[in-house]
Amino acid sequence: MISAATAAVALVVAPVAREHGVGYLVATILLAGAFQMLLAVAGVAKLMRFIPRSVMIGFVNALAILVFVSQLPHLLGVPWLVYPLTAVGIVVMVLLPKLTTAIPAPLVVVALLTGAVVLFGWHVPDVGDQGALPDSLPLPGFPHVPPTLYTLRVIAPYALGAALVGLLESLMTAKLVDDITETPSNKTREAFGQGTANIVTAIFGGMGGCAVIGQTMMNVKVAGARTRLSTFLTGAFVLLLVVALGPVVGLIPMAALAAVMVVISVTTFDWHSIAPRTLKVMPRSETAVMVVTVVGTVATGNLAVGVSLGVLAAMIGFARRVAHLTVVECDPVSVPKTYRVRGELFFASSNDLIHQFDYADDPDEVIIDLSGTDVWDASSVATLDAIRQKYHVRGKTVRLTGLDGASLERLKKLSGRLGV
Amino acid sequence: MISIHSVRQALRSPARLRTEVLAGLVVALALIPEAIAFSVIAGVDPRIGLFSSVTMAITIAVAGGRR
Repeated sequence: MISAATAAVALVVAPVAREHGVGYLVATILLAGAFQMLLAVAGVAKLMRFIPRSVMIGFVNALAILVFVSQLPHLLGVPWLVYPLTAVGIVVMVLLPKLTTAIPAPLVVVALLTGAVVLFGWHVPDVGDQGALPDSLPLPGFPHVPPTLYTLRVIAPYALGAALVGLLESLMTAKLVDDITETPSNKTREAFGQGTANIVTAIFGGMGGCAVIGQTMMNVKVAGARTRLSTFLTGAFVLLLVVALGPVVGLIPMAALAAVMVVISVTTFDWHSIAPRTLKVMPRSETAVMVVTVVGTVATGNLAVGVSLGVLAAMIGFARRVAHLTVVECDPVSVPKTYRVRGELFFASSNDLIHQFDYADDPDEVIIDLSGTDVWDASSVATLDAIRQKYHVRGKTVRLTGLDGASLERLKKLSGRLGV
Repeated sequence: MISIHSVRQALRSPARLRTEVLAGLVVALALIPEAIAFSVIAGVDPRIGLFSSVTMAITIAVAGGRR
């Protein structure tokens, strides 16, 4: 698995760098790494199961949209020459992988367009305009921020967001690699490792990152790598190339990078998820969860917010669906009169339960048969108590039958002890 | 440790070693343009994204959850 600087983490922490400077960005990554280590120890890998597929798809789609939008400043209000260059870049990005997978298309685009720009002396915005370039190795040290509570207040929300987004993308990537190689991997160790990597990166003044799906697929699927060695060498080669090619990097036209990122964003987007045929068969609530994730992310520019909203929407949707399955049937001829409750009783379904009984006109003895249900929480016990109370004040007796196991335990333990 | 074991095996097999080295090179070449682009997204110098990719990859190679 390949980890590197990623769009997901960059997008989350961009506001910190913009508003407070690079020092705060580095401090944010340091804290994010610490959060990831804590989350790993707390068992975050197991929590991944609470993230439904529709939220994962929403995450991917939102990431694609944000990456695409992030390229617009390099494509709007720029010299006209940028457009043909970008167009050529996009064509190469799309067509080259169909011919050969031996050479990465982004590299060809960058080499080709940089060569053309230098050769013909065209004046277009390049990487050199974006800031200082690598000339020497960074020295380890701690970020230059005042160690105050104010600093912590500024960076903590972004650090938590970056930690969650980094873990989500890393564990998603890990799952994909597990599927491809048909071997398991240790998710808790991966989560802890991501934290370690972010802390090390922050100590070297870096912007953090996480596992990258694209390059990991290239590494595993196309190049056929299977061990940590390839990941290690990736890092070593980047270092070597960057130090060796430092001055050349500044000449890369932004048009080349924009072409690469536009194609990456378009291929990252899960087009299948919004195809009319998929939308037709997919339950509407699942699509709604995906849309909530995407809209939440794009509106706030923060993947962590979108994913949280998506998970919340999915859980509410699920609770609603299960609650709808809860029904009360009444057998009018049975003596004593018997109500049968079917489906799950929990906070979302028990509130309606109280209105299902005919307290005034029922005979003096009533049975509520709960053999087709489970009592999941205190809300349901409180409702059952309230129903009993309603019969009781009318001088009628009601018996609850058919409960067993954990449901019966819960009822016995809580019934009559929940106050009003 | 399993991780060291699998790397040692790779080092002993020339074919596997070649695959791992080439994979590392290709991925590094693909990573560089993106690392620069992500630096621009985060609003920092391109070198920060490049060096971040170096430290992220090397650290996770040692500390990651996959052998």
